[in-house]
Amino acid sequence: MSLTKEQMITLYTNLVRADRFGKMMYSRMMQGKLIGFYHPADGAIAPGVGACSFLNDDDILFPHHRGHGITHMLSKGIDVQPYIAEHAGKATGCCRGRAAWHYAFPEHNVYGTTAYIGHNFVPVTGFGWAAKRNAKGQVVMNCFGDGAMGTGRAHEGLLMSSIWDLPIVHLCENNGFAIFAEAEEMHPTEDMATVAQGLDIPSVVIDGQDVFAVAEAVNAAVDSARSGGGPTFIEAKTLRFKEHDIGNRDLRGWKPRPQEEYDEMHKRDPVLLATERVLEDKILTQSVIDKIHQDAEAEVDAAVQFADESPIESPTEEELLADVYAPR
Amino acid sequence: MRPIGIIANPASGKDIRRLVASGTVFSNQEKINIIVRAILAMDAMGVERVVIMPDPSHMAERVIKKLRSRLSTTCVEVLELPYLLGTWQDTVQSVGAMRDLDCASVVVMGGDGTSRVAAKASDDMPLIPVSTGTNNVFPQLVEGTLVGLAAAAVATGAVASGAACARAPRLELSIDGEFRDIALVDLAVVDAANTAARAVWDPLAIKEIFLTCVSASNIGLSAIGGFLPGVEIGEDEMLHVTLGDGGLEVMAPIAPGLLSRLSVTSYEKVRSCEVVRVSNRSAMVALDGEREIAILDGQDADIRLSRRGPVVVNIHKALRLAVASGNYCRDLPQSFAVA
Repeated sequence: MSLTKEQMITLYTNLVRADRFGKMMYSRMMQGKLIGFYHPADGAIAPGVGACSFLNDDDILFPHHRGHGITHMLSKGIDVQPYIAEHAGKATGCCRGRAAWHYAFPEHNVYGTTAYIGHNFVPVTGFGWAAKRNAKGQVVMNCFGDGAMGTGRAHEGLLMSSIWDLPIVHLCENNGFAIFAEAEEMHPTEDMATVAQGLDIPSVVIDGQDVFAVAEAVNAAVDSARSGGGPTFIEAKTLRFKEHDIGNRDLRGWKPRPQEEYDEMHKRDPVLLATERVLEDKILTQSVIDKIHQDAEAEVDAAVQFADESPIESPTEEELLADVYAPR
Repeated sequence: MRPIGIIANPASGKDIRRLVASGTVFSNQEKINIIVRAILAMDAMGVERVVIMPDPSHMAERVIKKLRSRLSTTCVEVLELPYLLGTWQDTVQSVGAMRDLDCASVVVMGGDGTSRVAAKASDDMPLIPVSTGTNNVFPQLVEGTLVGLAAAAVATGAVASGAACARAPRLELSIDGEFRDIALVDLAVVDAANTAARAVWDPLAIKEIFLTCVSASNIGLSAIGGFLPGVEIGEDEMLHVTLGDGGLEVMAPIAPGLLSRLSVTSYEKVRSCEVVRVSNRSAMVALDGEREIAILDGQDADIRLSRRGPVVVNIHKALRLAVASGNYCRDLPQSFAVA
């Protein structure tokens, strides 16, 4: 039923790693050491960690764009060094420094993130169809936000996953915002799960700040999909601690978010909540927790050093055109 | 006239039992519609003031928007709270504030868990628990309009509060001699390392259960007692059921659509003056179906039945008494006079 002690430790470790990587990415973007954009995931790391820490290698993952999917991908087991190198535009990046934050790790069955909100529903439906046809017990993890639920692609994708009974777990990471627009201004219902329920997809709403609650719900959904139960929809209510992307102001509608809002939000920091839980339930001691934080810091430092020391690729014209769909 | 309070749990009816069982998602839109219908009924009966708990989903504000220009006597307000956490503590805080406002009663919309939280702060203020949850043994499944009429009957004095209300029992949990929490329907000791998704849905994890009511028409963990043949408990008793290998196999609906076969090794009736020590160590205690508190190695957990539970309005009884007193008739002729 519920998570084992070992699973809780895995989740806690991945949560701390995701938190450290997120903070490092924010800092390096501010220093001008990353290329492209950065959409911080601070405050919203529990859904990705909870959803992806126990996926199988051959399960397919379309991560959320927030945090550029690092929470999801490191939990699924990708090597973070080529991830950071990619975002720095280095030749050792997972896409040889050409994709910035539109990563792919095909060897881990990680595809996306796309630049178009809601676009993931299209390939996800195809992968879901393939997984069903392959009958190897693969599951597709589809991560997106409340903003995506305003797109036609999302509604079509949900519809097709339902009528075709596809093994897809739809994970809606609802932080209440689409850039500046509040979800309550953009949707007639605050629970996106009710939309999926209307399409006959089993749907739940969970606390997206609680990594353990996310993992238990997702594990149940994955088990269901793997055993032929079809799609499920999990809405993880989460928070966005920072601006939509670095360089933009952090607005609620047209107004800056007040300090009191930040103060209240930080009481529900997912790392804080998880730390309280593992200490209270005697899952970890403070000294082990400290070691987990130190290890995460060392992992981040090593990844940064790897990216810094990696060369920038200087491809020939022929090499540049080798990886595009429509070569001249 | 005393005001009426309304608590609507925005999180009720949405948990993991939609995945692992066949529970229905109870949308906040439907909760809003129920509140609207209840307030329209209160307005028709002359209720002057209704206060609604605020929540991060702004259900109260949406109720007020829907009721705009439809009310003649009732003023509907959003309860003012110093802060909002988006957790169960909002309910505790709101019930306390409604008690301070001297509310005649508080309508509590949710499942057993929501009623439990409201009962922590209600003291002698009557609750009207209404089912919008998953397992609903404590709340009553009644159309919102009738809920509003029953609440109005008590608030306007058409029915004496004492005539329609009764105090419910509660289970009290103490750990190492210190009072920790309550349950209204069931308290379960489960083999789990964490609270995680909270709901209890794995029958193999359930080791002990304590029940305030036993009925074959219950759903949830209390059904385990309800489906034991020939078992009944009196008002001053709880049922203590122990589960394990090699016992009597009993099938019971522990969640909507989830019929589980459980092995009951023993059961006993326990009177309210007695305390039962939990035999399982290093386990999780689930209160009204939700994992809440860990019993750690070396800790002693004790359970007792208490008659100090919340005061509850019986909706059917309140309506029956209000009808009998001619509350819904204009110029009632003497020939219709009732006792």
